[in-house]
Amino acid sequence: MSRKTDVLVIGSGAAGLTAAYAAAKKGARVKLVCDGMGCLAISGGSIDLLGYDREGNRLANPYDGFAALSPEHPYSIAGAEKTKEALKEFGAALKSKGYELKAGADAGGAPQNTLVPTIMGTLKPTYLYDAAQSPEALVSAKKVLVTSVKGFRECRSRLVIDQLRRYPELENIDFKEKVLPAPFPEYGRSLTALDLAHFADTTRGLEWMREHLRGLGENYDLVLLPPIIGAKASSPVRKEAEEIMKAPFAEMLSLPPGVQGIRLRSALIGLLEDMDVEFYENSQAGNAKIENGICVELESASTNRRVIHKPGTIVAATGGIISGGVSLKQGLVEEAVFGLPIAAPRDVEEWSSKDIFGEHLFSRMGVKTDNNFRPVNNSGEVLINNVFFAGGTLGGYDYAREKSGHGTAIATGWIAGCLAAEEALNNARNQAGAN
Amino acid sequence: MKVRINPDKCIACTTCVVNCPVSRVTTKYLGPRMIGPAYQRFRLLALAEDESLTYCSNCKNCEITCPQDVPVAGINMLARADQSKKYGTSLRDWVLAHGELQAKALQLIPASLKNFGMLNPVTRSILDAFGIDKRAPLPAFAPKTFRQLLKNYKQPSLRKKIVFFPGCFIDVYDPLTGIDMVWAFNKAGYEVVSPDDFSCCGLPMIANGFWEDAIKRARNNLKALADCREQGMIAVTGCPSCALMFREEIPEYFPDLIDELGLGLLEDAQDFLLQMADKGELDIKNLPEQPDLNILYHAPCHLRAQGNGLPGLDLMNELDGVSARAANAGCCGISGSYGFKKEKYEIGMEIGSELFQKIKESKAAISASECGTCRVQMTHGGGKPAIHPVTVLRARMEGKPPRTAYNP
Repeated sequence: MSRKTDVLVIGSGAAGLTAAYAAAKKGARVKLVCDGMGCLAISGGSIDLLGYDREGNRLANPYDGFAALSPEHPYSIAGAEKTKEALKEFGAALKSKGYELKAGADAGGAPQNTLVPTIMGTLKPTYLYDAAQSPEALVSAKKVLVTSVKGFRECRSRLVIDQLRRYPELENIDFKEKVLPAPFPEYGRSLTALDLAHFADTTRGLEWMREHLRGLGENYDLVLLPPIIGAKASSPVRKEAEEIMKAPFAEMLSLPPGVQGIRLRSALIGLLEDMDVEFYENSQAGNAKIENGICVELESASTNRRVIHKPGTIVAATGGIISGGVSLKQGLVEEAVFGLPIAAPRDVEEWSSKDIFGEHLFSRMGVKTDNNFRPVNNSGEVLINNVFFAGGTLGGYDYAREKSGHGTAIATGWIAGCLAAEEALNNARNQAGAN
Repeated sequence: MKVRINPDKCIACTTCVVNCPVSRVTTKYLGPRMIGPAYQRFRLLALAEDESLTYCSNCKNCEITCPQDVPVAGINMLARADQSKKYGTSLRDWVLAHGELQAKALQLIPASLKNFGMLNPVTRSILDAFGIDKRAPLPAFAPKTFRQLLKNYKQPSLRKKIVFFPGCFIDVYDPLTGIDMVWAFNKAGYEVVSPDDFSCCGLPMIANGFWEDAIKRARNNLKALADCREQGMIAVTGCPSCALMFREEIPEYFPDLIDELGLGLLEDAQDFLLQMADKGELDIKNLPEQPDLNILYHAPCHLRAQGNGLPGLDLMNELDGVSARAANAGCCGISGSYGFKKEKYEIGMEIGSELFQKIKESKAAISASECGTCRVQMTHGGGKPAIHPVTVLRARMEGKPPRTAYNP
């Protein structure tokens, strides 16, 4: 059966979900095809906008770095104004689901990156984060309590403190540690932050938190915790955590599963649920039928099944190399769904550099687009007029190095979703008019 | 077993851990990544099995969400089969995996007696001691099986024939839903046949480690389906788990059978009816006047695993006056026979708690789902009747309120 829809979104990571919501909010009927579910849920959940410039200097105001970005960078295509608008709309939507984000700002109210600690004791500049938390208090704090939980092996408070002390801006802080008792006996596996966060959402968990976090922050300017304060978009315990502890708190960003990403994702899924966005899970998009520069049909394939979709427009948010949105063959790079060629040197050796944390060409490999995020060839001609790209499939940026993860996805996802909806609805109106 | 799954496709990203309903509610389970691809490396080194393997419910959420297409639950089921072969299986698990045989053995006893025998408090206490939780919502046997009913059901004589694979739930416990299905296909211009040769699809046997029994069923069913294919008939089912078994599990676990007997697929009956409606062969546009109907729909995990969207939900929403909304509350916790087991009952109920809450809070008085045991669990936990989407279709086409009891 062929299934019609206004907008078909491919991918269920931060970019795909954001695009689906933006398009549905414009009034389009949206379906979403996904193979796996993207890395939003396993991420730390904070939204990085732009943490570093190309030379590796930390940016105080993320938008200050926009002007120096290359013309292919998604932010250069989106522009600072549209990026701001996208983040604002995104934040307002999440707030309606009980998940409030706040943006860092300096004393004068200008946008500012905030340094958020991780459970490895490193600092990461980020822009939007859970409004219930106060990581911004870290740099001006005098006394900070670093906590962990017994049996949760990935977070060692002593290690965190030793590592954080190496940062010059934190060297005058008096760090103390506190290991909370394990809330339940360990059975076969060691505890993860996710176990503890799920536990915090139960009645028993809430009682445990109230008992063991009570007054924890007295005499401290900030309490750092692993991400264990609930796994839901609006966990009751997160709202009262500061009051229980008697001090502002911040969760340290964790290795996957990062918990905060689950909260963000569940808020987004809740939004899509309200809009009746239908999911085609466990299926891979491909076999596009292109007529006169328009994708008229697209398949989603799963084991021994092919479904043909007839969407008005498409948002492709299939991610980068690991997610399968960009496929690598010997000396050849291609966008995976439509088979669009991506420029790359024939010699594979040139794709990466010797410095593992350095700049790698492969990180920037991705689809080249016009100003409306539609794919173009090397001479800038649009290849498929009704396909809009968003997130990790786009070329020209390295989110890990510049710390722009989720920020690029949300900005481009929002813009692509809006464009796709507008065009699909316009075409439908024109067609109805012509009939 | 010739099937070997390469565990090294796993990149240890933990997406499956985030989405595993079992590891969310209990630390007794090592979790899909650890017990699946990670532990597989130890298995390949012939190290002893981890006992938490039995906690995998085979709901497939790990496979749905895995970005690298690792058949995580598949690895677990193969390992479970290996354990059963080495150390045997329990009588309790045999009983839960072979509902079909019990129904056959008890065929001559009237349903009221059977149900009295099975569902009275004394038997439930005995079953409880034997490992089937006394609180679990064991479904009641229907007076007649679906295929017995079908033989006496007057279908119009139609040129086009379609094969209906009832699956054990409809055949044994819920035959009237099967009759609703027959009614709907008749309206779409198809006479329904349901060969006696069909047996259980075998998925409950896979999940409980009865590998040889599952192969036997698969062989039998594939032969019957090959016969249907030869006669040019399409086969459909209303049960997502049976459909999954034929489309994904049999080809993955028993590729030799596919080589021998060909691929036997069951189409999604709801999808098929939706297509008929699309083509105008099933008239769902001129419905009798009737009050509006709100429905909360639960998408079975085994349907989501098949990459076919939610055709049952679409079908209901095509009906004038029906507003069906997806609950999006994850797994219901029953996973076939998992939630009936004494050591898993509470885990299953905890897994389903989000869905139960949505059912209770929903303004809809009725919920719907394609999967029979999901429906049992939804009614048990949510306290409202749960029916099959095709029952909704028939009720709206007839202009009657939908039947909400299994065997009124």
